[in-house]
Amino acid sequence: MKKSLLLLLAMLLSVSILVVACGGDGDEPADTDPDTDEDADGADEDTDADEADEEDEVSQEDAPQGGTVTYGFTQPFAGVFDIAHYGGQDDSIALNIMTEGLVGTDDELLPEPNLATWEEDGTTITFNIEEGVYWHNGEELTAHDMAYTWQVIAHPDYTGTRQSNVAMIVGAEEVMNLEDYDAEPTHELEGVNVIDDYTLEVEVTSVAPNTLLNLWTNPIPSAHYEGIAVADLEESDEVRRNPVGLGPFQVTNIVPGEQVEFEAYEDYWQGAPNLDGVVYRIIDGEMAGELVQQGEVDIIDVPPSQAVDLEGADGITLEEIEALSYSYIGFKLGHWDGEQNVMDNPKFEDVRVRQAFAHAIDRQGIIDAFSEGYGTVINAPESVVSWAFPDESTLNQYEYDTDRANELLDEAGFEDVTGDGFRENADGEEFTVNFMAMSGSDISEPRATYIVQNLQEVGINAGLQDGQLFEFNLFYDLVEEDDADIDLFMGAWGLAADPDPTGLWRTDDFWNFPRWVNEESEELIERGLSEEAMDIDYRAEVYQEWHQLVNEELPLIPLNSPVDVYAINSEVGGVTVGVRDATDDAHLWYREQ
Amino acid sequence: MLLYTLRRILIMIPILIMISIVVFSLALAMPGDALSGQIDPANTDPQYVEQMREQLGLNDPVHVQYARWATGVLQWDFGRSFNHRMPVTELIGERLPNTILLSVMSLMITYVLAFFMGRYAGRHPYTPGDYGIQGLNYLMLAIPSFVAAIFAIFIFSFQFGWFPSTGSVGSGLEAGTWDWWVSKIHHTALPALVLGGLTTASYTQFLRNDIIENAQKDYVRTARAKGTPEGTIYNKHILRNSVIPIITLFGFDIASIIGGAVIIETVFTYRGIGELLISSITNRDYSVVTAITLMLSVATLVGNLIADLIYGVVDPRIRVE
Repeated sequence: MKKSLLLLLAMLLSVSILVVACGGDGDEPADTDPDTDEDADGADEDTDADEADEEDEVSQEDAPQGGTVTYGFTQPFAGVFDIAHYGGQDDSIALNIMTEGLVGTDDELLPEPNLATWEEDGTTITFNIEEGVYWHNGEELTAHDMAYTWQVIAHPDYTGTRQSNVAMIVGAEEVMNLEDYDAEPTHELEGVNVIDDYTLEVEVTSVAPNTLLNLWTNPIPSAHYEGIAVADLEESDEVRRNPVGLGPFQVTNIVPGEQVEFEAYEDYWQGAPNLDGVVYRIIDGEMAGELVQQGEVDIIDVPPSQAVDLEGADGITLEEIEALSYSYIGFKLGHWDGEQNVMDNPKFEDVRVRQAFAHAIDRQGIIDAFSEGYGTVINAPESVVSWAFPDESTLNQYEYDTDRANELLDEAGFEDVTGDGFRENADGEEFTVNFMAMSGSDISEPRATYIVQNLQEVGINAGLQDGQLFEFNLFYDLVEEDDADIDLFMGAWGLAADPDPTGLWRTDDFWNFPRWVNEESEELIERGLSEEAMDIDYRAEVYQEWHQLVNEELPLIPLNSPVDVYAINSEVGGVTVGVRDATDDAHLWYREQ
Repeated sequence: MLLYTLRRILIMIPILIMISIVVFSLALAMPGDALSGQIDPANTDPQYVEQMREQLGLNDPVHVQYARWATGVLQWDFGRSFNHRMPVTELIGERLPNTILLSVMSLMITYVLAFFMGRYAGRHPYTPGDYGIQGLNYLMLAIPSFVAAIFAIFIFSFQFGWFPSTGSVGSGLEAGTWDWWVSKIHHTALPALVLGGLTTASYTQFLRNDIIENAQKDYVRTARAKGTPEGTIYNKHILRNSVIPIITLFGFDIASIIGGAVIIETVFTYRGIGELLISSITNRDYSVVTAITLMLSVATLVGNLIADLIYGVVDPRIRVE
């Protein structure tokens, strides 16, 4: 169950997402091809996929027409089918099948044109919207829809969580703070200028390299929602029972929490889909692998433990993709004083001790033993997918090496003075380490125990905090309030397309859980968002430097970047496993009859 | 009788108040709240989370929160689901038909199985057939329902392919049509079989023992002496008397069936109240958890009342004053 939360969080919509807390499992969501260049022509190690992808490239007419494909997911959906309001991945998969945004992301997580092209000129962004794109209710997509969307999100009654994605538009803050306002989204934002039906100009408050990724660019149907007050939108039948989108499939039937049925939208702007329909169906995660084999589900993200059983199974193609997330073990270095982080915990202040811990933990062994090898050891807190992932050769590798760990601890003065088999700290005092981990999956406990044993092997008196694992909510509650018993904690973050570390790493970020404060890091993060950083090479260099700093200082030990595995029925082709789910280009899906 | 009923209903009021306090405080005692999963710096920020907590009243003292909630409940307002973003009553209303269908089907299965097995075992006590039925009963009583559910899915869905293993209805069907109902019942059949099958044991034993006991009674001896055929004695005279206690069990069963459905629905991903309860607990969706728990408590109380009343109706010798 916890995983799903992760999923929800991690996958939260589109470009706007920065970072999300995840449960500590290797099987979180997220997806993106490890080797991004290969993505276009399919996973090359997989011949089935290759054939499939080649076929889409040839042309749509060559693909078999008709049939239905079932897309599976393991958590019931909330049913908020509006892209500006939905909360989790449960709803976003359905939304991604039925609608699209102006801007997409490419294989390297950089913005790419979808329904619109754009020009950035200082603080002004001009969108040129594609002509002839129609909503499922027959209305044409225009610049007014996008302007309406921003008005909804900036409206004081708006019930979703995306205000931060419009806050950079000039005049948005004013509308958000209106005391006296209309219940419907009628308040124009000063910085939005609709030039004609297909041209839209937006003025933002400041120049930043990630504006386009942070700005909300997923339109909602203004004509369909006409006359509905913003406060009532997420509850309206227009959202919950007959939602309207721009994508290749339109909703025909919704069984709450259980399935959504779609039929092909013949007027889809990129051409009519190959399939007659798609069913989005919720199933029990424990049975995911079996259900694919039974043919009840055609496309689903399966956890590594089930993926192993499906390898070589008849009629199933497995597609792997590196997740847009990473897991880590954090050191508690200080506390949150209500305003900012204060790094005042002396326990791990010696960087050699932190480095020794990294050497003591068998990170590859953890992936092999508990995630069936699906994952990559990383030394920087970033997904290997991202263009900002640093050059590993410049980073200290912290390979599993107990001798090196012992050496570092000796150097730091952590020696066994009392002769009880465990080291004391530099002052000769007892040194015990509480390790806190989340429960939630069958591998949680053995994995946590294994890490504790790793530490004990180098003479650290480590143990599971209170001798147990903690449930997701309790875990984050305790980590957030810097519970005095926590020394080490194992968590995970889902990431956004943009690599900016703000939100998780700044001095004034509440979610900077290690409570790490470093001036150089502050400065680098600021430089990464400066005007000079509009040049992506410069920005990549800044992040490279920042990752080297983190790698040296090690406020947390990055564990791995997990791999997501999709099980796909071999009869189904044209599926592209994408950054967030496998719904990209659903109009190209086909089924061999 | 009327007086008795009124008195029972009056007594239920303080019990309900106490239950509501317990339910509410236990829900609040769960670590975390609906917002503690929302750690997502891009879409939200810590200030937003704090602001939402304030707005939802999660920072108020417990008694203030309870008073607000109880006032709402009295006006049939159970609050809003934070996760599903809709009123709880509407959400439960969406799921309730599924659970009712499952419960009715499983009750029917229980009654049919128990009736035939109990009748056979009661008429032929201490024979291999009777021992076989008893053995089967104890086995079903001993198997945890989730284990039975997984076996049932493995055997009937995966091996034989007779029943679908997940969901409550197939796709491509229009609600209310004949095909839709067939699909619905087809999807409900397997969970109902597991749920109904496992509760058969107590009914069967009840019926069997009652038949054996009745068979020793004077009126049966009289009937035998008059030369009434054995079949008529059992099917007409004894069975009529023995079925009475079974009927009264129905009242007690209302709540236990829904309780059992919690596990079965989760395993079968069958969207009903039970599955909703479990997922709401995981997501700390308090308003839903308290509403469903309260609903189950009321069902138990009302079920007991019904059971007591039916006693009086079917057996005039029992007079409640």
